[in-house]
Amino acid sequence: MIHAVPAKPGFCNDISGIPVMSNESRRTQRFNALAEAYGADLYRYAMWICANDALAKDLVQETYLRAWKALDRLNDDAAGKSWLITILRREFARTFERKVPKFTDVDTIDVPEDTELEPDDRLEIQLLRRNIQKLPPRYREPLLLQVVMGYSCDEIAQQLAISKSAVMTQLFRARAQLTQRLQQDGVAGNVHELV
Amino acid sequence: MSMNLSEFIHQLGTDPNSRDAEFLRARDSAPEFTQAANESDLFERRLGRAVAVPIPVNFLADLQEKARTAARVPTQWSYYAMAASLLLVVAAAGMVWRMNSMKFDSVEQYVAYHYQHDGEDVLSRAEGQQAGNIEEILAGLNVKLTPGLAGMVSLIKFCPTPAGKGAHLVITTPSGPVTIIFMPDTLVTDGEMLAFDGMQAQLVGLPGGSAAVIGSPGQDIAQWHSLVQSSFISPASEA
Repeated sequence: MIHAVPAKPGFCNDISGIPVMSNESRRTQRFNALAEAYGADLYRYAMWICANDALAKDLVQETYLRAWKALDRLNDDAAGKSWLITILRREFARTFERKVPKFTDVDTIDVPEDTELEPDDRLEIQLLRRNIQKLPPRYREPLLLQVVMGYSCDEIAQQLAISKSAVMTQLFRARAQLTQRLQQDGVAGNVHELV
Repeated sequence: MSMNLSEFIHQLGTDPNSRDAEFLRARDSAPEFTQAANESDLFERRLGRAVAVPIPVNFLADLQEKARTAARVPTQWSYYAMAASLLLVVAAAGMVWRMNSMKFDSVEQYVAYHYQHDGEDVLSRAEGQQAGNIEEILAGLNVKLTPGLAGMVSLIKFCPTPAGKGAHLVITTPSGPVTIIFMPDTLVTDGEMLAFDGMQAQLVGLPGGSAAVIGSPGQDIAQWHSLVQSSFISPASEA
């Protein structure tokens, strides 16, 4: 037996029966959508550039606070990701960069328990994390934009204000350095030689 | 002109997910290309896992709340800003207030209203996604999902429920996306079918709460009843 449920009368409906939202509700909804769509990736990105959980959380929160205040200036939600990453990078350079300790230990970031992961995979992931942290910033940042944020080479070039060919060179060198270091660590016999 | 191995390896090192036709064709053009591509795929999977640091529990919910809370802080330079903040807070809290304080006649009416409010919007946001924050969200509700159902979840978010806070999930099924609203501490008649706004829902009794499984009439949502009922488990019972 199916129980027909009438809509709550007079609630959030206009006379045509179409749900109506106020501008402020729409604003909140837009903000929540941006937080849900990109919050996790921005935290990961922040974690890699800050290498500190508390700083990364602060940075992302500051980013979203600024985004909340300036939300009306974002005309196209499709541009939300690059808008947020621009705010985050600017905020990092302005306020957070000087707080980042010179030496950080990414080994403190746990590799999530994953039954699919073989012990070799876990070891390689830990080593990759350590080596990503050791990459020069000019190589690390394009790589993180590509792998964490899903940026294309063109988008990275635009974000970092450098040429696409420079981006491609940096991405190639970033991967080559990671591969080389893994091979030096003796755990990457199955990674194709990039150098 | 086709790509040589050196060019192919260079492309793997710069943009391994490129959809460039020549690059894709080259993958299977010779064994050494295929081997390079397979090794690159393995490396990229590990790289993806390496950068995927875990998101703190409740981080996204806190983010939304803190941004709105900060907007409430009045500034000295403008009363307008204070008024605007107040309006934003009222609007932001509006949905939660309405859901929590409005006297719904029944759980059925809550489910219908909830879906009417954002069901379609959440479905469209879930399209093509794979939820990565299932454990964090559900840990805040003291529940876990078994891997079978967890692997089907394309989006999960907190949502208000009759008893406070719950979770709004979208799962990917062969007949299209299906919505699940998890309602902790809410009792329902297990197996009851609902119909509203051209949609169908089935209520599922769970230990410590309940769920509503919502889909279109053609989706035969009743087939998910037993999977949903056996998939929301208490971390305590697991230990």
